[in-house]
Amino acid sequence: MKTLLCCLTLLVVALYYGVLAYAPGLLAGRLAGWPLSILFALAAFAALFAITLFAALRRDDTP
Amino acid sequence: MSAALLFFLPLVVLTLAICHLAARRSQSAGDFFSAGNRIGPWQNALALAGDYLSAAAFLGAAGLYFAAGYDSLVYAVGTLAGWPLLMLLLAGKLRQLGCFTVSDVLAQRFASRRLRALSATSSLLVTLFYLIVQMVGAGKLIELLFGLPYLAAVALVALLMVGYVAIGGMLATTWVQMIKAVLLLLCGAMLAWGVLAQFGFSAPALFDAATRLRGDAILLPGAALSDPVEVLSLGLGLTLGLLGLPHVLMRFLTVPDARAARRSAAIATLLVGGFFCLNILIGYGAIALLPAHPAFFDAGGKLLGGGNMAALHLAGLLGGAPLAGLVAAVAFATILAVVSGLTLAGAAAISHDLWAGLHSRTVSAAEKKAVSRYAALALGLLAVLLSTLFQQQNIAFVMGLAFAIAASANFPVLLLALYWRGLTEQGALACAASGILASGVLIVLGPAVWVAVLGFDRPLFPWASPALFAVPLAFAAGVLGSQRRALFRKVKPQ
Repeated sequence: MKTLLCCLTLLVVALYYGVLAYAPGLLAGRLAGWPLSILFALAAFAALFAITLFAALRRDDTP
Repeated sequence: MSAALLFFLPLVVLTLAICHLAARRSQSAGDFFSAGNRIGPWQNALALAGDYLSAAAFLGAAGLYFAAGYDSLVYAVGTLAGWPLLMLLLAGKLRQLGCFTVSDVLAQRFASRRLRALSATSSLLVTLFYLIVQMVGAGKLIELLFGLPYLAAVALVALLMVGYVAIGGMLATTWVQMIKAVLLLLCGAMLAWGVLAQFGFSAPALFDAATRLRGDAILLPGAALSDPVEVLSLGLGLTLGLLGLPHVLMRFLTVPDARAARRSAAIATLLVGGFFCLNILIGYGAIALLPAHPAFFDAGGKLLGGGNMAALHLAGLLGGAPLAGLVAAVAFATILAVVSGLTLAGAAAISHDLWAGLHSRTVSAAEKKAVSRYAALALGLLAVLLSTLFQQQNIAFVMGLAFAIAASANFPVLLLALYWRGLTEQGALACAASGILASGVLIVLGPAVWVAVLGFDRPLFPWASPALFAVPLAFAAGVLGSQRRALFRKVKPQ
């Protein structure tokens, strides 16, 4: 599980910086008044929060 | 008395009182270096967030939003991503092993003085870079608030930080960090609330106002991030840099067990992420609101006190002198708390890793504490000198460089030592040495030093962040160094 969560975190980073590096044009424009670039960063934040919460709240038996 | 001084003086007095109290409770070396392992997960989470939310994360990030818009958010995503990895990979493991520094981890596997010295050197290098960031922020802040010359301002900060560390040790820095983290989060919330109130509590209206003044470009990566290699390298350095920061890693020994270490890292992730969300509103608020007020700009159209003071001017605009005073005092407390943590990490690297680790005789706890105090003084002086060289750089940018060194020099050898049984002493040496050398040389040859500090026209290495090259190189050196004998055996003719 730990490896999977680490891979998911790295995937979020790779996706965010990959789009920024190779397709920044995708971030232009708005959705419901919000800039897509900001929403994209907030989505990355949300994914990182979710990974953290999932890891923190699952049963932790290791000492 | 100015409003800033009204908040500033009680904060300094409060932190010094905390220091005095902590000193009375810190009797043993264990108390001095790891607060006797008595800190709870919530307390440690606040201290971790406090360590992390430095001058760069507050003043520097708001300044970078004001100067370059979206680029500041690019820094935030990378640095936040390091937190879940820290929780998953290092927090529990470091506590379980009872390791205080990267050198401790390496010492548990290899009895090599060279390796210990090398690892301590890389920790010192990272700590010094990070100290420079904080000192520049502090110097500019005090210069602006009290009219003190820059050198006198950084000397004052150095004096206080050396005092905190030499007297109070880890317990004092933890308590100061906790108070500061709470104050900083409150300040951030007040500023964000104030900004949103100006736009009818509508974030889209705020972004509209910002783009009306500066165009849609401030919602996209700027010219500094137009090169894909630069973007990827920055992202890698920021993400992995956290996992190599000595002053963050040493905090996991202050809690009672591995579970508390993991829990504190998880809570800290949420606190840091929450602050970064507030920073978006503060940054774009500065872009949208400050230009209409010429009082915040000099004759050349530049922000008074430099770009790093955008958050402070915004506070003055939203809440007048009282809010500006409060924000300035909290920013100053932020810097003091972070430099104290950094100085303690640097002093520990010198006393714990270099002095005690390299001596053939047994070094007593009292001697370690004494060496720590002298080391703190030496680090303070060095940080003052170096911060004068970097005073014109944006501090969020310099922090990016510190992260790149941490990611290349500390993280690869730490990860391999913790998780790869095949790592040999030669491999660890190759990994640590190549990480330090590659990141150091590439930073010097890159635009941040070669052009901005040394004054050459073109950099020899075109990218500011070296992580994309230095991190894989360090891992490759670690693996190849460890497999060297096996490789030679395979190619040897029978």
